Amino acid sequence: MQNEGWKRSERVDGLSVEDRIDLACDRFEDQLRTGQTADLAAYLDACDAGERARLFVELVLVDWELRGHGESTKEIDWKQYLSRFPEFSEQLEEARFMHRSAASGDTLCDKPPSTSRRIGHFELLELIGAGAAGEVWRANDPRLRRTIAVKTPRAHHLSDDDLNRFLREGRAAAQLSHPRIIPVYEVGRDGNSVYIVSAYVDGHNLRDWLIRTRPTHHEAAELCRQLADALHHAHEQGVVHRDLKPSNVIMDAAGQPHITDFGLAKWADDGRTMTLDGEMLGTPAYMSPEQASGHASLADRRTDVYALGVILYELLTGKCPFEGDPARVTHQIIHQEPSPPRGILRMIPRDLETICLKALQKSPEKRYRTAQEMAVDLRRLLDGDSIIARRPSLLEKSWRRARQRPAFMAAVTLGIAALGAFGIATKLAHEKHALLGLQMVSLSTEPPEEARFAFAPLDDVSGEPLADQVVYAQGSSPVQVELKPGDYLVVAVLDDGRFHEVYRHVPNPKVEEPGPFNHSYWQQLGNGSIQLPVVAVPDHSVTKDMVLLEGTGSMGLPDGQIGSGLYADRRDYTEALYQRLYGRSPPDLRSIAHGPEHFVTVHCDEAIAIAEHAGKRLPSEVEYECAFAYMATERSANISAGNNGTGAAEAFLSSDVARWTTSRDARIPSLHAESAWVVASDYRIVRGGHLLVTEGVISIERNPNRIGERVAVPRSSVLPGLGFRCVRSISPRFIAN
Amino acid sequence: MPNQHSVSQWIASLKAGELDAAQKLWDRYRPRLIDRARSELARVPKRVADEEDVAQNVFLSLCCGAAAGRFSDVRNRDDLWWLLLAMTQQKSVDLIRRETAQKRGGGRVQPESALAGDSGASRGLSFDQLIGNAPTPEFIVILEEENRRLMGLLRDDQLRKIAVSRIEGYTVVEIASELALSTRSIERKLQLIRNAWTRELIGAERGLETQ
Repeated sequence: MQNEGWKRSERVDGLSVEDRIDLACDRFEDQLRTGQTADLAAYLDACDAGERARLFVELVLVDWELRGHGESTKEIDWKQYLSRFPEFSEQLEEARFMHRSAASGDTLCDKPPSTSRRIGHFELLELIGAGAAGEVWRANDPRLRRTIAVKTPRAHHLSDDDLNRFLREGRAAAQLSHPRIIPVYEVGRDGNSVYIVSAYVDGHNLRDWLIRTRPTHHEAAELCRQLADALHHAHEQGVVHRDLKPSNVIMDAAGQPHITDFGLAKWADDGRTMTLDGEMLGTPAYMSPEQASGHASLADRRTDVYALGVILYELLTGKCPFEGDPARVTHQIIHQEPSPPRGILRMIPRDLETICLKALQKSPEKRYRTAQEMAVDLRRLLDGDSIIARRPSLLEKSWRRARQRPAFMAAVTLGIAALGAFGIATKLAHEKHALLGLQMVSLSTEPPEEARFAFAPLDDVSGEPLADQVVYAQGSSPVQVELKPGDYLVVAVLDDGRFHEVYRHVPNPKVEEPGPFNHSYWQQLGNGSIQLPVVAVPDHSVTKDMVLLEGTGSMGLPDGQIGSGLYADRRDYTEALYQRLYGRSPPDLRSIAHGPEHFVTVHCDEAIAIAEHAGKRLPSEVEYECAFAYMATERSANISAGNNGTGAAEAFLSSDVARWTTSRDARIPSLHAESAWVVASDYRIVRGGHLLVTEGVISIERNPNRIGERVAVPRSSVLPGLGFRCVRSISPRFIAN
Repeated sequence: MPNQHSVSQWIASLKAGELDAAQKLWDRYRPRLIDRARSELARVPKRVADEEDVAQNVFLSLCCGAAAGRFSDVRNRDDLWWLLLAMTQQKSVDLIRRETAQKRGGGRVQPESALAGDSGASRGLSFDQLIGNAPTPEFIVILEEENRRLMGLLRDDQLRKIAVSRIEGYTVVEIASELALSTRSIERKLQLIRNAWTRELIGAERGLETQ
């Protein structure tokens, strides 16, 4: 329908502001639609100064929508707008936000049902899910006046036998009554197809829920405990789910899980795993080994235990034990041990990993015998008791590994035959290292001094050192330590109290290449061990220009943070400092201005390297948080002392640029359907400015409160408004005896 | 209506139990409203079929929406519909007051408790007051009047068409494609309509208060 017929602007006199803006937008849209060039600036000029900001947002939104570009083009558009209308940067952010929320389906919620349909006596209200094999509707039961869910599997060619079995199994499912199982009210037949009527739970399935929510370990354990309880109830009634997976778990508004499709999975399936005749389709990620090997008839309650193990694994690590193309996954489910969750994220509690791996055992006999046993172990873990499941011994692990790699076993056997006793011992020692994934590492100081070293692995997700997993080197430098590949905070302490905290990377030399910085470089020695870059421990004088943030306390933050206090730079790292440290000017990259007092714009790795060279380090965002909390304490102390001066924390926090931190914790939704999110390991958190600040667009006064602003930036980005400043622990965080 | 807040927002914030209650009320109210609307329609001359009449008949909108199954859920109703309903409710309370006063001949105003749906006049109507009672024929007449009056407040026919479509339960996307406008423009115009009607409602509430 076209607009010609409309009598527009009947009342031109006394138009309100919103009417004027609306009409201007209409003209703008008309122009764009008729292929004319519409100059946004001209529209802005034509309107009253007070209405410009509002009009700008509306025009930009219309422009973006009509041009209908992909997201990447929008970024470019956005930047172009930004350079043309820097005075409207705030409005531009607003428009971007509104545009995103509109694109993310705000309009979906007001979507009415496309047609008025009925199944049985139920009025179908809204299609809430559709897959290859069927549809799910929110529906109204006019007799009982309640909202229900109706599932209509697109089952083809149902024989009478199938139909009888369907109705029988439906009746069995309808017997279940558990707060975490969505009750089935009835199953029935409508013409040629069947339908399942169950309670309607308003919420998202666990798969979608995981995209928005990141459960803690505690929450993951509690969620699985509830699911295990529910499974046990069903198993005791003789009903096995057989197809438990995140899309079959509905999370209600309170975050409580509800299992759906109990015992009806093969009828109600959304088509992604099995068809009626057992033929496999789509991802088999949650399938047990007995199902994957075609022995579906062997499926019993332990099959559900396995699937729950996969869900727990995914909640903990963000991905399934096996992912990829279905044929490969099926093969892996049958033949390959999953990588231990702690190999993916080291912060996962050991006991939780043990529970997860016990549920994932290939042989049903080795799994929890019942879901209840698993629920009990999860409960014990949540209560802080020791769990019943046992970790496999090293011997058992080697055996399993060997069984997976027959060639390796043959090599060991051949080796035994060929080598002398010493050779065998060396070979086995190496194999032990290989099995545990350990790497021999040597490290010393420059100039050579007798330093003691502690190695704290960094958590993959947060980037924080893991206080409970610190490895202390024997003796003093040069030291040799066996470490798992990964990133570490290395603490070097001398007898005279001098110390340094630096970052080092322990590689897996078979697959990694050394990087250009101290915290990414390494050298492989002839004996297979790794030499890390030396540590130069600074003098005590390194802190002379820094402010002291005394005993900020842990403020309810994780252990191992800055309990004892922190020295902090009072200014951003400047070109003058860089010149003094390196004897040359900083690389002229994207600074918008230059001069000795101008801050240095570098990417995160370079900032880490400069900080180390200066005898300092980059703060984590937790430390910024602590400093911010400390600022309040300082201010109230200053006020009571009648002191107007700037406190130490305020000096540290005040800046007109955004600053790098070492913190990661940047997760982004995964593009792959199999895992809900991925850790964006190449991003680092930047504090003290949003994207516009990092782009150098806005120059705001040096406001310490702006430290609350947080954005994730690719670690290799050099941005005109992004600098850094350094800190230094008061005392070494980890000291070897 | 809870003062200036939109009913939609208010509904969105209802807890499960409250929402159930609201839904039950609506489930009871809706068929009565539509029945009433149908019987009223039967009495009205066929002029409603006139395509030119954009404001049309709100009953026709109701029936169209109902036939398409768009009315079933409390949450599916846009602010515009609730605003229209609240406005009608205010007017009928006003009418009952005046009539009662006239009947008694002395200009005395009936105690508040005697009037259904009255107590919310200044504080905003509760959901129960809004749709708790079966619609009377008088109510339908007022609804129709209010519909025309509120539509008349709008700047042009395009805005009226959008308001009608929204009351019929169409989505923003559907209205946008019908009118060949961007969805952002529809959103912008809906907000304009909401603001105009909300101002009107607040004015009516104040007027009632001062009587």
